[in-house]
Amino acid sequence: MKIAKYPFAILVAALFTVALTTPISSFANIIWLSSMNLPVNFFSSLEIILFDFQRLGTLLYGIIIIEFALAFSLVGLIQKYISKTKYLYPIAGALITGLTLFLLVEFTTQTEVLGGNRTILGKFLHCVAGFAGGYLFKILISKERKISFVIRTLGIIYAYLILGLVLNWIFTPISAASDFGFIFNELNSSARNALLRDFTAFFVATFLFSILGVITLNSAWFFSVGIVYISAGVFNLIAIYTYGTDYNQIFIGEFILGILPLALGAINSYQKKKAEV
Amino acid sequence: MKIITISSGEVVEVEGAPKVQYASQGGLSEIVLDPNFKKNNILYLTYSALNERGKSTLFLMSAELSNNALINKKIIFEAKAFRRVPIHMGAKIDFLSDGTLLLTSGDGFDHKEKAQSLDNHFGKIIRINKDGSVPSDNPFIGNKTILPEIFTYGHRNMQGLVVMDDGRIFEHEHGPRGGDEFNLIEPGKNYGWPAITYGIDYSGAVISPFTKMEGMEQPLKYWVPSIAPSDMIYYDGDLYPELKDSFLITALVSRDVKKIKKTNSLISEESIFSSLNSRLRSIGLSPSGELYLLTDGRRGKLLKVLSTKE
Repeated sequence: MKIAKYPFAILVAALFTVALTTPISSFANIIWLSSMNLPVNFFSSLEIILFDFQRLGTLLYGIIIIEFALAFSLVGLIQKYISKTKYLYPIAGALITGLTLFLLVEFTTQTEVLGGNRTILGKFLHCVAGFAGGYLFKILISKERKISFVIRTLGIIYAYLILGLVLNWIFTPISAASDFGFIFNELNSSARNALLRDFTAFFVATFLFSILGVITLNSAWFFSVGIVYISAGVFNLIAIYTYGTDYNQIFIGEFILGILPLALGAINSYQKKKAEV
Repeated sequence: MKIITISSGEVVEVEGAPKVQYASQGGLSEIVLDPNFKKNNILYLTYSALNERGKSTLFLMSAELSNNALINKKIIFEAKAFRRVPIHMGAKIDFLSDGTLLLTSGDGFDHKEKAQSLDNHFGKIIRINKDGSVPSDNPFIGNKTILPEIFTYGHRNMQGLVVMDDGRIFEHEHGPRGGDEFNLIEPGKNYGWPAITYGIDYSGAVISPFTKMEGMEQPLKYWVPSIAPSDMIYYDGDLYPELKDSFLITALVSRDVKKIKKTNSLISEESIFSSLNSRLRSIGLSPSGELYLLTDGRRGKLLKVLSTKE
């Protein structure tokens, strides 16, 4: 089955650009913290890089999707009138990234939101990231794509979004616990252990399941994630209406997080059966 | 700049106010009366403006109020904290019992790392004499690599400053996303920003994975999530017995006043005036001890707090 490859190629290229962009700010920060004789080590550096990729990256991802959509559409139009060159998309990616970061400062905050973009070297590296994003886009659109490309794209975006919860539970579990209403220091030792153990396992496992689904295209992984989150939503409602816990709207998010991978798994299974027939 | 007579409602424009850079978070920030105002009519103003070379920074001016006009104006301090736009100015003033004054100078947002360097005024509390000269007992006097006006460093955007009768100094700073702080200020100390913090950047980026470091002070209290503290007084009057001996901190995001009581090392907090449901910008006392709140925004209101005794 052929699909509209362009929008999904933009989603992938933008995420790839995010992955190249956020470490620029992370490393600028790590270098400065090290210069202050703070005990920066592998673990704390990894914490900065991964959190920046997820939290700063989520903000950037939306921006880069829009800028790439505009720039690459324009390139597509231009290419109807000039001879095709493989560097047009990369150059467009570099220029639009540089321009967007410039405009963000000039017309919105008037402050440099990205720490890594304060220096000329940082600005150059952001443009290089845009160039690489454009190059990947060019590769992705160079041949026809199947529905599996869509499933993989959506699966990786899904994993990217829940990565924030995973990182919170791995690196800052006490803060993550407080988001769920637990006052960590008021729990006894066994309860603390259970809280950290089970919640971290819950989010890490669902993250890994979705990554495995993307890699193997085995629907069982997507269904596993979906069942876990749908169950969380169901038992949330049971807790509210049967056991009288406070009403919360988290179940909406849990159902959404459950339905998405279930849908991906179902589409994947349907396609495979269709192919077998 | 205006003078409001609350009893009559009369509003008078003051002539001769300094030319400010009214942009972003900049403009006329603070007006404080000299402790001997009744005798000398002198007041102090902080504001953001462009200097002679066209650079934006924080200024402190002294002036005499005479017939609703400012005369004998003198810029007594210009911060070596030049920035593109006037943001994170700090700009609070208070007086120490020895007649010197303290001024908060914010980190300028884009220059936050400079709060840890002592060759500039970003993220510093400044101590100077009323004529702008530097007191001879400032903590870094004698070290030629350090600006002599610096009293403390490692601050972000300090919008609350209180000097107690017993000489203790308390300050709060408007943190990033999470990490607003309430600090006890002691001369020469480093308050850690941005090397250590309990907050993250507005963009979601990590500022620092560290919250503690030897040689850097811990806040007495911090807020995660942010309350966005905007001003602070210490109330020790008698008109509002329920507020007595408390720090009152206005907050923009939590839309209330945080009543903070400090008893030895214990800090208690209570949310008051939350029913106003307004972003609260400032808090102050009238000469007769009545409490006033200022709400934020284009339709900002000056609210008088009635005493239960009234």
